[in-house]
Amino acid sequence: MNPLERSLETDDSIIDEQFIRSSDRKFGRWLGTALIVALLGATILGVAAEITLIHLNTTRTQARAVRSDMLSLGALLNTIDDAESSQRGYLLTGNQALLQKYKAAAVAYPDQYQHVVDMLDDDDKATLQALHSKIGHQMSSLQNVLNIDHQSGFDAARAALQADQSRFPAAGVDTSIRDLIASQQARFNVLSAGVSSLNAQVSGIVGVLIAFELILVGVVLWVVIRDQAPRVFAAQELSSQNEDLRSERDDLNSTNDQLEASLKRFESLFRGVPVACYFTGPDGEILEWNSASESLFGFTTNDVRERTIYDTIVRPAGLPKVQSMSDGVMSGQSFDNVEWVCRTREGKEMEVMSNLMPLVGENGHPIGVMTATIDMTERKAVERLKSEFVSTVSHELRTPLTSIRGALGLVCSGAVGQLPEQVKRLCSIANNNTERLVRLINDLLDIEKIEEGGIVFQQVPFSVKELTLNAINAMKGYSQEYNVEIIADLAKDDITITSDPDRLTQVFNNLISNALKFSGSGTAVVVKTVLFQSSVRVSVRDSGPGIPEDFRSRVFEKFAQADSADTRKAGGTGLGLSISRAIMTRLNGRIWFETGNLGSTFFFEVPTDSKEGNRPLDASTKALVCVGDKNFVNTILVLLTQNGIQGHVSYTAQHAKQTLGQEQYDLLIMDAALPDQDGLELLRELRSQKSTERLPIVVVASSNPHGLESIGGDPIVDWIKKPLDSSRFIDSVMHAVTQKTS
Amino acid sequence: MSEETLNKILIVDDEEDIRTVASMALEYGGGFTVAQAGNGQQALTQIPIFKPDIVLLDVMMPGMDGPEVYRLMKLDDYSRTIPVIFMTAKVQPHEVQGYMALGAAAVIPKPFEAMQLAAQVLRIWKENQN
Repeated sequence: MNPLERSLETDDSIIDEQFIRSSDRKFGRWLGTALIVALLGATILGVAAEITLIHLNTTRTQARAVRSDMLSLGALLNTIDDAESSQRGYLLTGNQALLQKYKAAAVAYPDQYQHVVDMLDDDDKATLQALHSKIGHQMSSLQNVLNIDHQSGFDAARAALQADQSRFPAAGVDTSIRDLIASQQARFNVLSAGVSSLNAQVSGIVGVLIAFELILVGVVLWVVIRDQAPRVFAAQELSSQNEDLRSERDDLNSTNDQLEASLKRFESLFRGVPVACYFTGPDGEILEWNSASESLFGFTTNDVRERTIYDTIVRPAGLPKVQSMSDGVMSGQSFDNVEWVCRTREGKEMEVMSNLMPLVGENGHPIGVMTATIDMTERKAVERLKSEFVSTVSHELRTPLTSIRGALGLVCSGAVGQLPEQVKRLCSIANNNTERLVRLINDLLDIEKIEEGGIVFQQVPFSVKELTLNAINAMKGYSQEYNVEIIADLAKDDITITSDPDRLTQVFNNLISNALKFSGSGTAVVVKTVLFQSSVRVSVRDSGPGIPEDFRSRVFEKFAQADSADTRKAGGTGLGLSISRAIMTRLNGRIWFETGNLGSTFFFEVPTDSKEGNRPLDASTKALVCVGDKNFVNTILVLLTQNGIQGHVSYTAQHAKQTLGQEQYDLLIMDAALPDQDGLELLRELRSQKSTERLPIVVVASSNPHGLESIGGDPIVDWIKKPLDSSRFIDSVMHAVTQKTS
Repeated sequence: MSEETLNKILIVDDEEDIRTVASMALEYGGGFTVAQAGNGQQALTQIPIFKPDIVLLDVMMPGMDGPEVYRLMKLDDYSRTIPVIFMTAKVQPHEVQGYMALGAAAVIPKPFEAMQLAAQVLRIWKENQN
């Protein structure tokens, strides 16, 4: 398991544990509360039920006792009645069975009486005891009658019975006992009602207890569900996040593998490339030194260990130049094709050319210098040869041309005698083509000289208006020849700029003469100037047929011709635009065109101070790159860094807006297609806000973003087509940044 | 030699055609008297005889080139005062600077415009007089 995986696993378990601990605490709290409430409720209800049950049992016992009293009293009453009725029956019928029944009742009575007396409470007991004498008397009376029967016969007994005035005392006893029974019945009824009531209470308590328990169970279930549901969701979420993290980890592993492979390729390239490459620290200390460096300078890797370039390959005379470039690189600039003279291990001086760029650290700031150097000795020799060759060829071509041109000039002018009309025409043809050949040779030499840097450009102040008017006036004869009017649409104010007026006039001439050639007779060419704070933009608009689409990418190439027949007819050399671009490059300006069915417009723009060399940029110049595609972002960042601009990244429009709200930027580079907002919509939004209404913006897009013109103008909005043309992109970026910073 | 007007011009060039065209251009264009020399030696010989007011001197010539002729002219008390125009196809900036540094009055690049040549030479001569 690699460190990343371990880290992920550890993170997972920490998250799990933390979550579970937190979840358990909440659950425990709820459960504890529920249990306490349940126990308290159950205790209260239990105590209530117990008390009610005790009360119920007591009442029920009392009721049973009363009922028993009633039964005993009933039995006593029956015994008395049986004794009385069986005696009477016997005396009336003489039935011996009735006599036996009487005897049984007489025998049972004492025990029953005693039993009832023991059971009754004190009040009833007193009532019964009062009855007892009556009952005793009656029982004695009955016994007497029987005794008479036994002794004197049946008739005597019957007579005695009939004579006995108290032969029916049992009626009073009967009533009293029945009262007692009724009294006991009333008590029994009260106790029964009490039992019913207590039963109802017990049922109620049990019902409440069951309801309570049901609620408790409900609460517990609710607590559990409430506590468990987020836990389940969180677990699912966690699982999904884990999945994402694993996916990211896999991506990172893949990227890591790619990086390692890339590193290996880079190392192989660094070791094997036949160009001397070396990395140096801020003070020139040599950090890496490839084998081509060993071959070129003669110093081995061991030789340069713990040494600087200043005590190895840099001559004392070259130290200021190299030191100054290194300082520039450490502040974020890059230098291309810098020629200088180095020193080899043998002490020999050698002409070399270097590219220097920042070695960028993790925080995006330069931490050292990357230098690639090639030997220029042979190239210089070839250049000298070429220069001599061009000079010689030029001389050899010009020599015969001088005679031809001079002779034709004299003949055509009529200086040596009048010519017949036809001869004059032929002479004119020969003269025009000689002129064209002269221009071609001049242009060829010109571009060679400009491109190889053989011409020192002037830096003199001059009036833009004056230069433009002079250029237009110089083309007046030409415009009449083509019957095309030149309209000057010049900026109201004038400005003095410092540049090379002769070379700018050359650009003017090229653009205006092209426009005149390709506009139809009777039309017009418009020359317009627009002044910006730190630059001047000139446009030349023709009324021609426009530039064919398949030719547009080659317009500025040498000898580029849309249609060679047309070009010859127009008398061009095919070098004018190429020379113009070379001039603009040297003057730190730029040149471009727009074209359509209604004509083409060529623009050139020069800074008001076009000193040669690297454009001075503030080291803190920074651009915000708002592009969704990470690979594309990296390409842009490399280009920006190489040109001394810090690049910060926003992958979404939302983030870009936030960042622009928090920090000041010199430039915004944005993709027309953003993941969360339409690029043009974002552009309009930024333009409508005070803080970003003048922020220079460069839009990169797959096709011309329609509607940009409605937002564009000054301050600068430019758009660059994808895939990116690096030099066009940097031109646009540098233009925007210098406009902003000036 | 006239102090106020340009009259006599010496053309030094190894190309006969060029000498012819240039002579005609100056004669017809400005009415000047023109003499020709086909090389440096001839030029140095002719100068004291023809006494030109100005010399049009080619640069690349077999034997003695233009700058050498010019250097030798500067060694002579008479010829050193005569203004010299280098008329050449070798007009790269550093080359032009080189001729001017030698002390040339001007440089006329080849191929020259025949009908403008007389006026051009006259203007240079006048500027040099001042």
